[in-house]
Amino acid sequence: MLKIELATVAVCLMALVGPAEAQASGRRLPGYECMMLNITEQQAMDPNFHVEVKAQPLAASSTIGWQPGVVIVKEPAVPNRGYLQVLRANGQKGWIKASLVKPYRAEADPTARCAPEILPNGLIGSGPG
Amino acid sequence: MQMIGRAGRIVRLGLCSRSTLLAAAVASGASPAWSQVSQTISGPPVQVTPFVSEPGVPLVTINPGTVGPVQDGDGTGTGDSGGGTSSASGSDALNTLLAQSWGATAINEAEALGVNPSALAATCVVESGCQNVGASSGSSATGAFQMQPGGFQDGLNTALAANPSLASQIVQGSAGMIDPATEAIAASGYLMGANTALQAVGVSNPTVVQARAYYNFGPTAGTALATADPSETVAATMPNVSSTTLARNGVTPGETVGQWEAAQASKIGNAATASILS
Repeated sequence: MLKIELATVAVCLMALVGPAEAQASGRRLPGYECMMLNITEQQAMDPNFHVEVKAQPLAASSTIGWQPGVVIVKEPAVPNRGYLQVLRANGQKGWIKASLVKPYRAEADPTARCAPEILPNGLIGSGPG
Repeated sequence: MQMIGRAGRIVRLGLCSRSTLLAAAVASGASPAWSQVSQTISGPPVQVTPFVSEPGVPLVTINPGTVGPVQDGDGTGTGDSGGGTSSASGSDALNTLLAQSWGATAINEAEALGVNPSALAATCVVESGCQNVGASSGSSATGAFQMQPGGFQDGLNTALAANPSLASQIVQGSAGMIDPATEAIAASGYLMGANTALQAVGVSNPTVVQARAYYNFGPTAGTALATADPSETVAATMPNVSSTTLARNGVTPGETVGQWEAAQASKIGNAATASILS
């Protein structure tokens, strides 16, 4: 009986949240936490502005890519020579200046949660947790 | 500057998208004229090859044996199953672009830059229905690709750096923004930037719908959508972007990444999953 009721509740919840919510979700990625870039909205939308991801925690290190607004940071988020270790969408590890990263809090929705995930498409990204 | 990325106004897009869909539905539902005899053709029609090229007019070469000059999607779209309903195939965007007097030129320009013509077509379909419209009040975005001056110039710079020979086809100055063929070069360059940015964050084969996020929200915010769980809200995915900016871009409170992408894909057709570059 309990099983039937739980199933009914689940179906009702699925109907309430809509088809997009019913899509496969990612898997929580342990050992990492969500942070965000410490930049302005103007910078976030500027085509000529990029936060570089370095191969090593050194200013002279090569750049291996750019960072989206949400940053997947290795726990604990303790800087190494002023850099935090991050995980890129393709699973590659990199480093970002700690001064360019701050705790996660979405401007448009301060109640929003963020958790590092392995996405359904295999990329590393963020989800609601 | 209105914070709507570097490009479009979603309000206009919604209307255009609706009209495009309506036109497609009407077209698909119409019966053939009495005088016409239906034929089944294989591949594109025979192309007329001029002996002498007209100066300034680009030549579009259609490869015989292919369905069209470009490939749309992965072929797994929801094509017409023969039930007489409208098929919103990936070629819809390209057909809409080709229906414009400047469409073939735009396709030629995209190909000259290595940009998938379907990606370019999808951009103008979503932005304006491929109509060379002016700016609405309160916005500086204009033209078929609804680019703002900064994005227009960025796109042109990227395009010309990749293929300097296109400089001869550009209408100089601000007049270029209302010349669709010139704006197509800038939009193609902007799509190249989208591809670069998405690959730089670790997305190996960026798609047209992912480029839409870049087009609307820029590199840092836009690329975040490509690396987010579909069930995550757009607001949570772009933590640096305010609710005001999200609303201006047509994002409703609580709208998820999956819902946003599905809405974009419904406007584009199955070209949504096509690669940005050819």
